[in-house]
Amino acid sequence: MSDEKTTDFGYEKVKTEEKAQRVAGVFHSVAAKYDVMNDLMSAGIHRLWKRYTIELSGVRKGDRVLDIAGGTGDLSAKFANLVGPTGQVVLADINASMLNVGRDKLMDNAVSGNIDFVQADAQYLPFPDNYFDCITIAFGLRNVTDKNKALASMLRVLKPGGRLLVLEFSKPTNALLEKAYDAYSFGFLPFIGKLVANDAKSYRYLAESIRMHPDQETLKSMMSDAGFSECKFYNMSGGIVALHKGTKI
Amino acid sequence: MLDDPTLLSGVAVALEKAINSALCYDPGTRSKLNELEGCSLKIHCLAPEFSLLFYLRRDHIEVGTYSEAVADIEISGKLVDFLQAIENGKHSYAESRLTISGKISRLNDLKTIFSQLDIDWEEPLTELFGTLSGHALAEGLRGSWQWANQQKSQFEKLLSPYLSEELRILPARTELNAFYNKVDEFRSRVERSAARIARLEKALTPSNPNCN
Repeated sequence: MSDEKTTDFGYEKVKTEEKAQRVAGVFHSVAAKYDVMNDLMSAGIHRLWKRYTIELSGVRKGDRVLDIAGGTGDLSAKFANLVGPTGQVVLADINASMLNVGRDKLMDNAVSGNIDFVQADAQYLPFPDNYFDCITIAFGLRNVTDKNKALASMLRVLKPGGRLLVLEFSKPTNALLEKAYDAYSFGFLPFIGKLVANDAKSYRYLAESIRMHPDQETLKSMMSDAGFSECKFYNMSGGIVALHKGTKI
Repeated sequence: MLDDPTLLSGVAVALEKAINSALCYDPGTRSKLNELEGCSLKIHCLAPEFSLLFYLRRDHIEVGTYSEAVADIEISGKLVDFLQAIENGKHSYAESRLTISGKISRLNDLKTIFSQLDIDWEEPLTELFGTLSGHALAEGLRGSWQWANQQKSQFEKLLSPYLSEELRILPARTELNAFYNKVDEFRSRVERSAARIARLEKALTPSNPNCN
């Protein structure tokens, strides 16, 4: 009888140690067209979700911010502007291809003086304890193999009083919207993925991984269990996306 | 519906773009606003519930939807109160049903600055249509706007006498005043009668030695 631990890779069950590699494959494939696809898939609305995340972060001049799964640098670019020359932004991503795209993009836009680029795993963050004023992870937590481990790691590197913001796809609050969303996710997204990025499979994984991700209340409980306080969530676009916020006391 | 951050963020983005586009064509207002750089204003609508924050930065304004920091100026009230205050722009804050807190002097400065807003509409039109066509179009629009304002003033002046004198669906002011006078007179008579009745009741009570 097999004793191997398994986890979800979309709807597929894979060995726990294989998930990271499978996710890496997905993001190596989509990195070059990541931004274009985000705009196409969400009709540009992802910019509004991220804008709200920035507002809730309360980041100010001089702050030190960690942007996990920062990928192509949308949030990091805004944070760099907010923290100013006396602050620091660390753009961390486990995937080298995404990190390269992000670094090139930010450098092309002359936004890199106070940004450091680090290839790191959210489960094993290579930073000192109590280091960051704010941590964000946008559309990355659902790809992490062990979310509880990642949350614990984030708590460790956050300063007391620091805030964690998790922006992620979640469960729609309305049954009708949920049906429409399912049709859109499993029908339209892979089609667009095939057309633009020549990769339907990766966008099918996107839709599946969203369905396997914990819902709003479950993730809030996970954050509380990890040690975060004052945990709350904000539904956006009818619950299609949720922003979870927790504080380290 | 406005409690969905996505929608409110969309409104904030649209407002920000509109305000900054307008400021592009009014350098005078822009430089006056620069004197208030760093100032923040929060509009908190109680019904429907939402908040918008305006931050004065160098040469532009940023619009947000959430902040834990206290704004320099906060104005709160229902949407209908805000609309009434905008319509009755010349009236004082005390006459509105809005609650204002923070640096009132800054609010007065902002009100003064925006009352002197003078957008050069000709510039964006010439950018789009060329110098000659743009200028002609701007002149046409300016003339139409002035004509519409004149018509509006005339309409407001003539409406009341038309309703009272021509259509007779509203009483004239003299008729109203006569009616109010009659009501006042009637009220006085009622009060005098009530006073007389009270005096008589007091006179007729058993404790009065004048009664048998």
